[in-house]
Amino acid sequence: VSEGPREPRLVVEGPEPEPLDRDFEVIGRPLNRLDGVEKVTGRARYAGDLRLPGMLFAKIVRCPHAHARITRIDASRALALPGVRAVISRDTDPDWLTYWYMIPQPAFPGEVGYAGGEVAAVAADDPVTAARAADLVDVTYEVLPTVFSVEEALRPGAPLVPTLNVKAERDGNVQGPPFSWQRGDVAAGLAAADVVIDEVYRVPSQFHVDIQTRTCIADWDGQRLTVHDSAQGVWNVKLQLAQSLGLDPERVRVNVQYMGGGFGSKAGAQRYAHYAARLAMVTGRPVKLEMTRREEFLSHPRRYSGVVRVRLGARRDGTLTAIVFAVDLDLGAGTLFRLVSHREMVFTHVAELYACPAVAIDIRGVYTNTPPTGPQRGVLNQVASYTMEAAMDTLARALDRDPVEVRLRNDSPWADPEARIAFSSKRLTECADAVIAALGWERRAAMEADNRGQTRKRGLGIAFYAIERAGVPPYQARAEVLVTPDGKVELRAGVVEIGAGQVTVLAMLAAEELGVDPEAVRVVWGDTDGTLYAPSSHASRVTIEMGPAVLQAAALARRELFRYAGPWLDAPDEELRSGGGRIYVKSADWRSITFAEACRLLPPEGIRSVGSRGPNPENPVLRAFGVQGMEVEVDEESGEIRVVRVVSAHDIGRALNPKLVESQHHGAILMGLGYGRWEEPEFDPKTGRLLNTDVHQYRIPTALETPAIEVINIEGEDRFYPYSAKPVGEAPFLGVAPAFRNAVLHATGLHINELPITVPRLLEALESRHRSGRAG
Amino acid sequence: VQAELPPFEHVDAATVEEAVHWLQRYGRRARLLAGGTDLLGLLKDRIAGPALPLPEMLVNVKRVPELRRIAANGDGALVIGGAVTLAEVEEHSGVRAGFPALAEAAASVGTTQIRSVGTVGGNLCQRPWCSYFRHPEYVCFKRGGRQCYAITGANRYYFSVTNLGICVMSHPSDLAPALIALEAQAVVAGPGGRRRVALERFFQGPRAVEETVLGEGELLVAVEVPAPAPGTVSVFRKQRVRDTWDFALAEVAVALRQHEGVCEEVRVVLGGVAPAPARAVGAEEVLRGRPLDAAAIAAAAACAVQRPRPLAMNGYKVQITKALVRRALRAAAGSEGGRTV
Repeated sequence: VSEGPREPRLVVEGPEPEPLDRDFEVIGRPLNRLDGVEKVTGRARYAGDLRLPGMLFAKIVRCPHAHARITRIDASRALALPGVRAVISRDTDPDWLTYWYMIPQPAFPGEVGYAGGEVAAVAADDPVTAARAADLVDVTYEVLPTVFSVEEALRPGAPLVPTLNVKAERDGNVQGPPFSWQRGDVAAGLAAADVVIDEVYRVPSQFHVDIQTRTCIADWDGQRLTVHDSAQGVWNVKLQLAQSLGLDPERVRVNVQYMGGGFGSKAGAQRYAHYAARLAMVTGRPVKLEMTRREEFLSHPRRYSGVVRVRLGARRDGTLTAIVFAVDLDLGAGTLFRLVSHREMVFTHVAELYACPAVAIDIRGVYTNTPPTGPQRGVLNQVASYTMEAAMDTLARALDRDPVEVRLRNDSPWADPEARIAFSSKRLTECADAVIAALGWERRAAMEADNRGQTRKRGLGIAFYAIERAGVPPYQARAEVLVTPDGKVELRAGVVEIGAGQVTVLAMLAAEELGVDPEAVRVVWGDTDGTLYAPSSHASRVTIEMGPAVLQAAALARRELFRYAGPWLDAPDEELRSGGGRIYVKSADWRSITFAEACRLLPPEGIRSVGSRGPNPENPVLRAFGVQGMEVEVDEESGEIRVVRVVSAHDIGRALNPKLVESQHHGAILMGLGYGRWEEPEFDPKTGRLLNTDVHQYRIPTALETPAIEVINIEGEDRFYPYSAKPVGEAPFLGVAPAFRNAVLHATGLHINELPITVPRLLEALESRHRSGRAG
Repeated sequence: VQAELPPFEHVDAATVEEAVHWLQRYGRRARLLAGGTDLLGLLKDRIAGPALPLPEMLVNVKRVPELRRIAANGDGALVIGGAVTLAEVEEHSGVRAGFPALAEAAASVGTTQIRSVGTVGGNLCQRPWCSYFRHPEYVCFKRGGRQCYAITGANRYYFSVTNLGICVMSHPSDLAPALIALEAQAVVAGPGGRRRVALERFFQGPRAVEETVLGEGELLVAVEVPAPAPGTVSVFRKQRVRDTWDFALAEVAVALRQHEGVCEEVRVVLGGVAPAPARAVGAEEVLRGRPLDAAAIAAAAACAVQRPRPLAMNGYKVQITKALVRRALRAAAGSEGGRTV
C-alpha cells in the first residue's frame, strides 16, 4: 500500500510556474489554426514539394511472395540502364540494420516474411528510370510455406515466420513472452456471478491511409546528413537514423515540413527513410524516395487484427464479479511493439475503468506471413474498448438492464482499489449524463416498440472508454522561449505539426503566459536544428508533454521580463502582471508599459528560458475518459445502415482551443466509423497478397459519409496537466465502433461480434438468424 | 505522386473519323482516352498482359464535337455523345424530365470529381473492378492469362452471382441497366463505317476477353435513347458497401407502363450481379399483363435472379437484388417516389 496520491502539481522539472493571476485571454478561445491560411491557399510546403539541385529518385524493389528466401540478386541489368546511379541490396549492405522505432531490423533480410517486403533499392536520374531499373533487378527466390492466420501459425510444425526484429524473443510464431496478469480470483468471481456471458470477438486490421503518401529527401554533403522527411517526429528520427548509419547524432539533421496525416504510421524513422539516406550517402547526391499509394498499403505498419474472448460475470443488479479478457493478436511478419511493454493500453480499459474484484488479462502476439503491424490511433486500446463495450451491452441484455445503468453501477473511483492508486481526475459520469441527454436515451423503449414489424429499425448505442496517454518514457520534452529587445517572441519546439494543430496550441500557451497575441509568437518547429529534444507527435502526447515545458519556459521568460520592467514601473517585479500586450502593476493597472517597450529594456542578448517536463506521478495515474453514443437506422431488407447522429463527450479537463478539440473528435469519429463499418484488408487466400491497395476498394469514409456530430467538452480542474488540458488525439476513436455495434444490436437484436459491420455482414447475420429461427 | 505513368504518345482527334484512323493504325497498341478515370489508373498500376498490352498511343476524343453533345430530337428521343460527362447527363433537364432512371444512374457514379470528367462511353466500356484484374501481379483471363483467380479467391464484392463462365466479374456500369431498360441503341463507328447495336447486345458474356462488342478500330460514338411511350415510368436503385463512391453490389433499372391498372410494357435490368448487364426476364414475365400490386411485386422479386449460382463469398447479393427489385417496382407503382412522364 502506497503512501497515497501525490498533491496535484504541473509535471515539470523544478518549481511550478508562477500563477498568471488573471483570467485567460487566449486559452479557451476557438481560434483558427495558425497554419490554416497557408494550407488552404496551397502555400504550405510538404516534403514532396522540395526539389534539390542534382536530386536523384529512388524506387524500392519488393518481394512478391509472402514467404521466400532470396537466393540471388543480379543488379547488372538495372545498373546497365543509362541514368541509374546505385542499387543497394543485401549484396552491398549485408549486415546493415534499420532502427525503425529503435528496433534493430535487417535492412535487407535474407528471408522475407510478407508480400511487399523490401529486397533492394535503386536511385536514378528520374522517377521513370528508377521504376524501370527496379523492374530490371533480377531476384531469385526460393518460395517457402506460409501461414496467414493466427490459427495456422499456432499449429504444431507451422512454418516459422521471419520477423523484422532481429532480437525478438519468440516461441515458435508466438512473440515472447506472452503477457498474463490477474487480480483477485476470477474462478471465484465467475462462480459467484448470477449471469456469465462468454463471447468471442474478431477485431479487424486497419490501415492509416494518410492523405500524403510518405516522401523522404535525404542529402549527404560528406559531413552531415540532412533528411527532409514525412515523419511524426524529428528527434526520434534523428537518433534512429544516426544509429542505423553509424553517424554521430550531431551529424544528422531532420526536418519535417507540413504533413498530410500520420495516425501513428509515420512515428519514428521509417524503413524507407533509411534507404533514401543510404542511397544519398552512396551516390553523394540528394535522393528523393516517394511511396505510391499501393506501397503505402503494402509496407507501412497497420493495426493488429485479433481474436478476443471476453467473459464477464455479474450479479443480478449488474455488479461485476469477474472480467476475463484473453486476446490473440495477429502481428503480421513483425511488429514495432513488444506487446508486454504496451499492456497499459489494454489494462486501462479492462482493469481500471470498471470496479471489479477479479480481473484476468492474457495477451499473446502471433506472427503470420502478412504485412507488419505497428502504431495506430489507440492501437491496443481499441482491442480492449471494442470488445469490453460490446460485452457490456451483451451483459446488460442478459441482465435485462439498461446498458448505461450497468456501466455506471461499476464506475470506479480507483485505478487500483487494493493499492489505493487514484485517478488524477475522472469525469466519466458527467460524460455519460451529457451523452444520454443529448442522444435522447429515454427514447429507447419507444423505439423498440416502433421497430416491431418494421423493415427499417432505429437503435441507440453507447460506449465508454478510458485511455492512458503521455508521460511514458521517453517522456523528456523541452521547450525554449526567446524574447529579444525588438519585442519579438520565439518559441522553439522540436515537434512536428502533424495536422492536429500542435503548433497553434503551443503558441497559445506561450502567448497566454507572456500576455501577448498568439500570432505574435513565432514558432520554430519541425527541425532538430535550433530546437531541444522533444517528443514525436504520437501517443496524444504533444500538448500533455510539451505543454508543461512551454508553459514553464514562457513563465520563466515573463518573470525575467518583469525584472526589467519592475524598475521602470517603479514596482517590485512580483507585483507585476502581463496581459493584452502590456505589463501592469497589479494593484494599480493604470500603471503599465507595453510588452514591446518592456523588451527594449532588455540587454542585447534578450531572454532565453528553457522549460522541461517531469515524469508522471505513480499515484495518482493520469487518465482520460469519455462516452460516445449514436443513433442508427437499419434496413433489414437491403442491409443499409444509416448513422443518424453521433454524440461524443470527452473528459478534456480544459479545451485549450475548442475548435481544434472539436476537429479531433470529427477526425476520430470518421476513422472509428470507417473501422466499424467499411475498412477491411482483403488478402488473397492462396498467396497472402493484399488485394485492395487503393482508396476505392479499401473503403475509408469520405466527407459524404460524415454524420451529424455533437461534441461535448466536460471540463474541470486537473493540475497535473497544462491548464488542466487532457489528451484528446486518440481517445474519441475508441468508443465509435462499439457504440455503432451496440446501436445495431439495439435496432436489430443482432449480436454482431465481427467488425466491420458491412452490408454483406449484416445481411448474412440476418440470414443466419432467419435460418435458425432465433430472435435476438 | 511522382510520375507513375508508363511512357506513351498522345494525339488529339478532331473528328470521329480521325479517332478511328488512329485507333486502326495502332491497333491493340492504341487506347481511347476521354475522362481517363479508368484508363489512367490501369496505366499507373501497369495492368497489362498478352490481351492487354500497355498502350503506345492514347487517342484523346474529348475535343470531338460530335461526341460532346446531348441532342434532343423533336419526338423526345435523345442522342448522348460518348464523351458527354456523367455530370452533364445527371444535370441535363431533358434527361431528368424524360429519363429519370438514367439521371439517377449517372448521379450514382463515383464521386463529384469522377462524374465531372468521367464519360458515358467510359462508363459503358470500363474494365472489370475485380481486385485480381486490377492487381499488378495477376495476369488473369481478362488480361490474356488462362484462369480467373477470383473463382477460388476473394470474391465478396464485385462478382457475379448468376454464372460460372471463365471470368466471374460482375459488370460495373451504372448507366448500362438504365439505358437497356430505356431500350437504348449504341452507335458504333469503325473502319467499316457506322453501325447500330441494341445496347442490350453491346455487352459480351463471361467467355469473352473483352466486355463489349467493339472491334479493332471501333469506338462508341453515342447512345440513342428513344422517346418513351407516354405513361412510362423509369426507376433506378443501387446498393453499395460504402454510402458513396462505390460500385454496385447490385443495382436495378425498371422501365414500365401501365394501362388501366395493368402492367403493359415492362423491362427490369440488373447490374452488378452478372458479367454483363442482364434483363430479369423471369420478373418481366411475371409482371406483364398483371396489375402492379403487392403480390405481383413479391412474385417478380422472388424470381429476379434466375438460377442463382453465387460464389463462396457473395451469396448475400441475391437477397440484395431481390430487395432492390421489390423497391424499384414499388417506386414505379407510385408508392416510393417514382416519376411518371
